[in-house]
Amino acid sequence: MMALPRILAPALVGVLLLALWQAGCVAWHVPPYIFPAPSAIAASLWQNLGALLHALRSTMAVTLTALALAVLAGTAISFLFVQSRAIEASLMPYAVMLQVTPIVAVAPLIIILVKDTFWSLVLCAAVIALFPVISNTTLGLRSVDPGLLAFFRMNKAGRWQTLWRLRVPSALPFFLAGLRVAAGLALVGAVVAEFVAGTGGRSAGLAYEILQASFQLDIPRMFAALVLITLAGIALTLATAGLSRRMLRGREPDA
Amino acid sequence: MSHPQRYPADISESGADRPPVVALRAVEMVFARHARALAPTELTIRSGEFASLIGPSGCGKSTLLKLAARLHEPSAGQVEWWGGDFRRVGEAGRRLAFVFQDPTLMPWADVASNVRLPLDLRRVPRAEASERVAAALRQVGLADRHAERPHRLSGGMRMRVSIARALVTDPDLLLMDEPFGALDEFTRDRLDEDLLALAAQRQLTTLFVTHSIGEAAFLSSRVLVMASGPGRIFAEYPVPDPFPRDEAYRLGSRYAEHCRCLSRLLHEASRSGEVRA
Ligand SMILES: Nc1ncnc2c1ncn2[C@@H]1O[C@H](COP(=O)(O)OP(=O)(O)OP(=O)(O)O)[C@@H](O)[C@H]1O
Ligand SMILES: [Mg+2]
Repeated sequence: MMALPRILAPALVGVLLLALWQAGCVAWHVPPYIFPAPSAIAASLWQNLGALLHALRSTMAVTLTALALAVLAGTAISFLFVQSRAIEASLMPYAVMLQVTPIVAVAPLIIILVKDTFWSLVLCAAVIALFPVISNTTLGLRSVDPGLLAFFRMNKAGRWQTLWRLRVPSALPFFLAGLRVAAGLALVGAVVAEFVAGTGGRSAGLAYEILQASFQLDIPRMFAALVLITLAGIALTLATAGLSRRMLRGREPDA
Repeated sequence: MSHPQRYPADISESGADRPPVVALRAVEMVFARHARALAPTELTIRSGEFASLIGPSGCGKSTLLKLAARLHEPSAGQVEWWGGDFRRVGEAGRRLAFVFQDPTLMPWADVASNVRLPLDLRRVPRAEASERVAAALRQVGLADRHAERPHRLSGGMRMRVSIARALVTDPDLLLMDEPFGALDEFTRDRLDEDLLALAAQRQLTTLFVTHSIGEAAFLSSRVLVMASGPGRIFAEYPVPDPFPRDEAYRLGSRYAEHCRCLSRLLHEASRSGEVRA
């Protein structure tokens, strides 16, 4: 019974806002090249559906590849970190450095260094998605119930047994929280990198669509691309939330 | 250092001829930058005995128990298991089980997997492990809850799972640190009775920490009263009444007498701690 209001209430708010927006545009005769009405955006979306969906596929390919890369590298780095405090202490500052440096500033460098456009975009997005994976997974691998740890030690559990049977399951909720943040950041990273790269061709994504539309003052098309980015973000959030609910099923609700 | 006083002194040493299971020889514990948590202590727990440790909070009961389990290395002295040098423990460590004050279960695993954990860590074959898990769960009365996650159980049930996990390895020595301390009195009494039945059936040797005088008197064949400042065994009180003991024993005059004596000893112990502190 809780599910219905949780979906229905925000949907109602959305419909209401769209109606107000539409009414406002019609009432004050706002021209579509300044601020298009939802109907104009929908029309543009429909007209350019082929190109926009192609761009969406491109952006999502970059986002998901980057996310996968960030998860693989991030968990690997976390496993390395928890091997010893010394390793963590000596490498963590660099992970933080990576995180605090604005990706917009680094992106041109990456794009110059990496010849292949797709992989340069992936790299930019992965760099900003990496940190939440590292910090959450490391925290998770460390936050083990000390009683259970003593129990493992008393039963002469080996390093691997302790890792797989204790640390990994303890870290799972933390990792999944990191994954949710990382998924959003990967999309942001992909879009930002496309903006900076500004390239068309095979890997032209939604950001390129927005750039092109703005050059041509085709504002409704710009909004249509924006709508797709937002929808992609929502889809990513829902997917990671669903995944984490599935994987944590049966644990305490607050775990 | 005062020697533990025997009380009452005239009671014959029942079972003094039994082989020692765990022996603390001049064991001392000093935590870094702290006062001595445990003054040099002699203690021998013999096979089949149910010994309890009581004493004021912070007097070193948990420390002593962890030393007996080798969860801590003693600052000085030696811990002997089954009469051998503890440095050559080998298989000896596997004959011991420790029950913590809280259940310390894995929240992501169901009851059966939690109980099976020590067997999995020892790579016991699956079929044999399942059989032993089922038997252990039957013993604590949770056979029908084997597929449940721990958070769906009551506090007392979780504690019973924890005890099943300790029993599944078929230990000879059971070390328990206030296992029922967080439970209500009624549940605790039930679990105490179950524990006694189990100990008798399995011929367990048990060292049991509690802060409840009644619990100590009910369960034990011997109660060790500790004092603090520094932590030490202040007195030894045998409870020579026969097992099995049940609800009727708890209502009897002998039980009441033991509780009174233990209560007095505990007062003396805490006063002696104040003087020294
Ligand atoms: N890991 C530790 N590091 C430093 N000091 C410790 C540590 N563990 C225990 N102590 C100290 O040792 C003393 C005895 O502690 P212990 O836990 O054995 O008490 P206890 O008798 O079990 O008390 P309680 O009944 O409250 O559980 C205390 O003064 C405590 O501060
Ligand atoms: Mg304690």
